[in-house]
Amino acid sequence: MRIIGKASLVGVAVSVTAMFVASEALHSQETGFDHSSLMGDGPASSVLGDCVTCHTDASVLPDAHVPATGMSLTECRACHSPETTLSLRGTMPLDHSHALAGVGCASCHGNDDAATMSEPATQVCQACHGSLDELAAATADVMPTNPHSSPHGAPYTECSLCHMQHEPSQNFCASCHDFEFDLP
Amino acid sequence: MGTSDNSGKTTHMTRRALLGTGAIAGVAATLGGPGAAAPRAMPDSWDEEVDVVVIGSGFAGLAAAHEAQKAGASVALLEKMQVPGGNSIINGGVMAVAGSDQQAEMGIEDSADVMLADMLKAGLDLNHVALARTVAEHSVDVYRWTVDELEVEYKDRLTHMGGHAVPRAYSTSNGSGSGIIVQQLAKLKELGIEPRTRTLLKHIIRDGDGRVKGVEVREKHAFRDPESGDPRTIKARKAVILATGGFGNDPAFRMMQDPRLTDELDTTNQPGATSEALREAINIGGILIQPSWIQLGPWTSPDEKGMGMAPSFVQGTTASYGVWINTETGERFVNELADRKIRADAIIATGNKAIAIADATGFKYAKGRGTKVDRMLEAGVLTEYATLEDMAAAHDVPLEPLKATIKRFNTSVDAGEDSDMGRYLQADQFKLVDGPYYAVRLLPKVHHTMGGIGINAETQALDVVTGDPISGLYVAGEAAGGVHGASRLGSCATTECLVFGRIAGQNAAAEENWG
Ligand SMILES: Cc1cc2nc3c(=O)[nH]c(=O)nc-3n(C[C@H](O)[C@H](O)[C@H](O)COP(=O)(O)OP(=O)(O)OC[C@H]3O[C@@H](n4cnc5c(N)ncnc54)[C@H](O)[C@@H]3O)c2cc1C
Ligand code: HEM
Ligand code: HEM
Repeated sequence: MRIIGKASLVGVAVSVTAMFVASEALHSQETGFDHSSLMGDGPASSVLGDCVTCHTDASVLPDAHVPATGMSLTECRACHSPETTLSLRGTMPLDHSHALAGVGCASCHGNDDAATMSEPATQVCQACHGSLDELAAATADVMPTNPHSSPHGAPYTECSLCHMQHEPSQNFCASCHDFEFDLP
Repeated sequence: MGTSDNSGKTTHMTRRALLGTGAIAGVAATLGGPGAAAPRAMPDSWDEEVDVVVIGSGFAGLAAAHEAQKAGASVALLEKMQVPGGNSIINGGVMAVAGSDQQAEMGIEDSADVMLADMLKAGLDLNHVALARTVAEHSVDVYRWTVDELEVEYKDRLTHMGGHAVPRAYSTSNGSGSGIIVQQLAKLKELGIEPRTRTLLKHIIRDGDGRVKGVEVREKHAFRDPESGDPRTIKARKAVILATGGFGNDPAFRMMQDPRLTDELDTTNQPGATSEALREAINIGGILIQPSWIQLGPWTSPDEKGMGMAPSFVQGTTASYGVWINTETGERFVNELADRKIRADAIIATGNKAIAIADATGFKYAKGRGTKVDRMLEAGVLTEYATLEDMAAAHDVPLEPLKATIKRFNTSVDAGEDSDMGRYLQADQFKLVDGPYYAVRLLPKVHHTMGGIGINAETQALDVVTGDPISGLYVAGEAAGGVHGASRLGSCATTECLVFGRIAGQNAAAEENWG
């Protein structure tokens, strides 16, 4: 499966009106949750739709939100279409989006054992997201410039320069340019 | 426990948890505390052992690793940043070659001696001549090496860079140093070497016998946190090669050398162009030479961050086919093709009230050579004015003097000699006649650090006390001082870094093992 469409990396269910409040809360949140409990049996995604399992000290979803437990990323997107203002691009760490889409720790790290995990190579990402050329084509019209194709060559497209899984993504290019990007 | 340190005396060591684990024995207690200047003692045992340790993954480091490996040495190639390439991968891809086939084809006479003379003139004769000569004399074979061995592709047209007597600069096909770096990385991968990124050189280990014997590094280092990373020692049986680049993005160190270059000044350099590796080389007895000679790029703009897009238009078009104007007087204020130091100083002397201009023909020329003029217009780095009058009004330039300046320039073009500034006129030089006019505001930014560790032409680092080579330590590329004297000519660094990187790699591989 290749995932390079606009509808790829985003989405979790929260109510329309409370979305911005909720997403702000997400970013500033210290969950106090011991993530190692996700590593043992079963995929991390089994608990992720159930936000309060981890986010114990704050309500992530607004009161009026439909129950999200067990929802997949596709189901979240029924409301949170990435093409619309409801898109949650950049509002939760990418590991959440991945887990909701059924891509748990082992899918990228090869195992569920935190002790022996290491950073996956760019090729791991490309197995699903396609070659650099395909990526570059998908974002060819992004302004102010194509983030996946620069004069600096392939070394500057290592995914984890910009797309972080377990912390907010960062605009690597901005260390030298004034390019503003809205990063998944 | 007694361990010999760099001074040859025996120092009593204490283990300190905070300094790391395992093989690192500790540090000599000093009044300055554990971080202060003091060479690191030999570890009890090494975590890893190779023939040659190369620090830095720019032109110089990759060339050094390449040659050392080809000569049969095992190599560890270390880079502190998350990405390889340093300033080299973001460089403009321009490389000076004196006496090339391309020049011969174009009927341009050139030689290593002429290139050397240009380098010495720009360098105000502060260059260490043997070093500058080595660069000029090896320029043709290093160019051939990039073509034959690395399969780098270049554009057909040579460029005439400021301060050079003749057009002699090759440009990579993609207009970036990445055109060379990506090929270097690919060939190294074939040789079995990949840069170990996020690995910071923390200490160079120099034994009591005066020889450099290895390094202490920090793996999984996060650049923003200087103390981060896991300590590891690597024994270098033959040599350590320091190819750690310049310190253009290190305001604190920069200001010690030239207090005017505060952190308010922008730079064209990558974030990792900092001084800690140089400081460590000094710490173990390397000599720092000519550090106050810091080059500002004269072709940058205050209307964008870093190097940006301005240089390609300012240098590529306005310096040859336009003029630079002091907005207070309406006059030219410098030979637009003079070397960078003269031009940057001249801009500063105007109070940074200077613009680089071209007319419609210049704009077309820029477009033709691939300059991203449309993006520049969009970003507001380049501005368009229907008439000279509009441009004068927008930049507060007195109109009559400006008109007189342009008229004199056009007369010069007809006469084939620049009466105002003595600028080299191009074979296809055209006059400034057609609106719309285009302008870029000029503001110099820190670009290159000419100073660094003193070396000889074999790239051996020199000892601060004896002036003799430090056994087992080579320094190549921008980390070394003296090649360019007071000012580096554009396109000479690519050549320099590749030439000296290769020499360092070959010499390091030829060293006797110390143990
Ligand atoms: C924007 C720009 C454009 C340029 N354009 C041109 C041009 O067109 N032509 C030309 O001739 N010159 C040009 N120059 C100059 C030239 O690019 C540099 O002088 C050259 O790239 C330096 O190469 P280097 O190998 O010595 O260092 P670098 O390429 O800077 O590599 C040094 C590496 O060492 C790493 N490092 C530093 N300290 C440590 C440490 N403690 N531990 C581990 N790693 C460390 C750095 O992160 C870096 O990756 C340009 C410079 C800039 C900034
Ligand atoms: C191979 C490594 C990478 C992978 C697999 C990857 C994947 C993706 C995907 C799937 C998207 C969504 C594309 C779309 O909207 O159609 C995306 C968007 C984006 N990526 Fe990457 N990426 C990689 C590297 C990088 C790097 C290194 C950067 C930073 C320089 C970056 C910056 C961005 C930005 C800014 C966007 C948003 C573009 C927009 O506005 O639509 N990516 N990436
Ligand atoms: C992946 C992130 C990046 C992207 C997408 C990117 C894109 C670009 C583009 C498109 C250009 C051509 C000029 C322009 O159109 O603006 C450019 C030039 C340049 N970039 Fe980047 N860039 C990135 C990261 C960086 C970083 C991190 C640095 C500094 C370390 C850097 C330094 C430069 C320099 C110096 C130039 C001018 C090169 C020259 O022509 O001399 N870039 N970049």
